[in-house]
Amino acid sequence: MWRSCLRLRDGGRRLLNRPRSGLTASEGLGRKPPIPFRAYVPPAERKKFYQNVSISQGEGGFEINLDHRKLRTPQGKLFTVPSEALAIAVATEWDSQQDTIKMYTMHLTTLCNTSLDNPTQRDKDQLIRAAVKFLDTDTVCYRVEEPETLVELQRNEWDPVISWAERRYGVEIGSSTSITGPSIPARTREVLVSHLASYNMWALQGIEFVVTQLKSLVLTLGLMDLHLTVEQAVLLSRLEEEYQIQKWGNIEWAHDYELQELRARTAAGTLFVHLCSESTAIKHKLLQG
Amino acid sequence: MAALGSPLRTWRGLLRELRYLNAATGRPYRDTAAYRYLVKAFRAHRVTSEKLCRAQHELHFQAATYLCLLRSIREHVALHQEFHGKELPCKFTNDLHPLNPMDHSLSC
Repeated sequence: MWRSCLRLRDGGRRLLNRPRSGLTASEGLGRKPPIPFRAYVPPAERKKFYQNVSISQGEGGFEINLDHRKLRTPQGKLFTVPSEALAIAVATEWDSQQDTIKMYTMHLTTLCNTSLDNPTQRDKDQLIRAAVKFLDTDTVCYRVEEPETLVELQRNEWDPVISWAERRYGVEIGSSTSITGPSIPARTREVLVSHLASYNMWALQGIEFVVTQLKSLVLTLGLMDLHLTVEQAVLLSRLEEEYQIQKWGNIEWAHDYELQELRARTAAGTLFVHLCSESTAIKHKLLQG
Repeated sequence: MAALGSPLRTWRGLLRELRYLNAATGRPYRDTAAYRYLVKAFRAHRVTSEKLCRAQHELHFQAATYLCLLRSIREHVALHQEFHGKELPCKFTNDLHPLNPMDHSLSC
């Protein structure tokens, strides 16, 4: 009965039965201060300098051509990706630019550039450790003690995901209201580290990216294992924000802006990981079918 | 497994997003590499045996993820263009203001 009161509806933002109001101010007791619209001054946006985008297959993989020029990474390396689907998606990003090139919308290109250039110079172990470290402060493990309705909501929405992860990997994760967060057993860490080690370097860049966006390793694992959709994972990551929005109202230029940006980045990261780690077994079936 | 809804709905959503993307160039979306790839991928999984159930689900998941990506980028850009660099609206609604629920006179 409690669950039916406070479950989120499918994919939607309606936590409580309340019609959405128009633009509202965000002041209020117990409400976070209004999120200031970022005074973001974009670097001089480059004009679109090409007409046609195409893909070609080179020695190292698939390349992107802007007119007759081959796309390169910020560090000047030839832009090559291992997967045709990924190449097509990147080409589509470039193709859909109009007048100016909006790099902040080109998440897949950015992820590929990061993987090719590795600007932070991290190796596989470091990436894995960075991702697993998030478990100590994982969003879904970090619980509030009040208000009661939010406690209930967190329990109803986050407990099932934690249970799923515990069953799926045979580990203990748990949750905590302590300021230091949950205490994760060493065995849990080992199991997850060894699981992540099965991914290649590119996929790990994507995984670490998604973990940083969602502030949760558990939710990221849910995405990688096809247990959660991107919309669900983002909603679960922003559970408290959504709760506050339902209570106090929504501000399009702040809340929706952040929501769409988080969805875009999470979707890009998730797709990136999946496309970089497609198994050859599936590829063979696709070719035959 | 993630609740993805019907593949047909995802397919239609993808077509819509591809149409939006190509509207500005005036080029038909059916001419794009993305469209051709998606058609091939969806068709390949229509005639399948049960063994490929997981592969089917994976494809649908990837398609739904790509749809989410295209849609959220479009909405993000729309919000950016609507609000960036302009004076931002600020209003109180009557019934939601926590301090003065009955005060209708507050405004920015």
